[in-house]
Amino acid sequence: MFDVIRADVALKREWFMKEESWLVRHVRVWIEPGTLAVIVYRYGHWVQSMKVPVLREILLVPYWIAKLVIVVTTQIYIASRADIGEGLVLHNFSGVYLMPKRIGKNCIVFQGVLVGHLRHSKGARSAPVIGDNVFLGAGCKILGDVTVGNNVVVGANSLVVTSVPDNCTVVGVPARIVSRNTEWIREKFGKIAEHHSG
Amino acid sequence: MDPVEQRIREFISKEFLEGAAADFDADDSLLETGLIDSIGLFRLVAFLEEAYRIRIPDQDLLAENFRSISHIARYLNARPAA
Repeated sequence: MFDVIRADVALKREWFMKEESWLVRHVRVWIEPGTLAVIVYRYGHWVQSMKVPVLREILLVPYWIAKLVIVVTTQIYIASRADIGEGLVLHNFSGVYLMPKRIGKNCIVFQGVLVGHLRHSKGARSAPVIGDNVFLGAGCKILGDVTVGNNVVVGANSLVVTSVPDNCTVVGVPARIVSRNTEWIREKFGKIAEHHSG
Repeated sequence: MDPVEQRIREFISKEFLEGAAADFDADDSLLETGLIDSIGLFRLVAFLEEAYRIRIPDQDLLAENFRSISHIARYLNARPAA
């Protein structure tokens, strides 16, 4: 859990704070609303995965309290049962609702993003699956039994209701493919990964 | 039955009725009967664009074009061929 949180924060630092002061890069990054929401999610997800029932129930109590505080103060909701890889970055806050089936590594999420079920769908299988290296623009909505591939950019205020292949940029309502080349995002995530491991 | 109407009916049955037979008339309002909601309308638009390789401009998203299956079929059949 701690390694994953460090990876989340490292990506946020390198993506959004590269030119900022030491104080911003090493202190403010940890207390931003988006970071706190991700930390609470990571803790809740870790607790949900515990095999010892009594211990799990005890450790869930601080999670429920922290989650309530986060939801009320930042309007960010991340389902603890969602399977989200390392590198989850929430930039800004307010109106974020994440209830995917799965999100891969490196996902940048802006304010107003909704990832969730559709009203007519039943069961967990109807939640979106999102790949690696994905950029979710402010206000975008990804709904239902759809798969968003790797290296995808979802434009601001777009509505994704059909699956998106790898390496695409989608924009609009409903979202349509406007580019099949997202080399820039793959390169940027790659450079950050090299920097972090090197 | 018009092949376009049939295709739309099959899509609605599969996506919104979980495979159950689509028991409604071609002239029934899709939104007013609650058969599909606003998000469903955009799913339908995305399906039509993919299925018929067309682009439906925002200004065409009107009740007169999308009120019912028969309205949609009329709209699509009136468009120039791709």
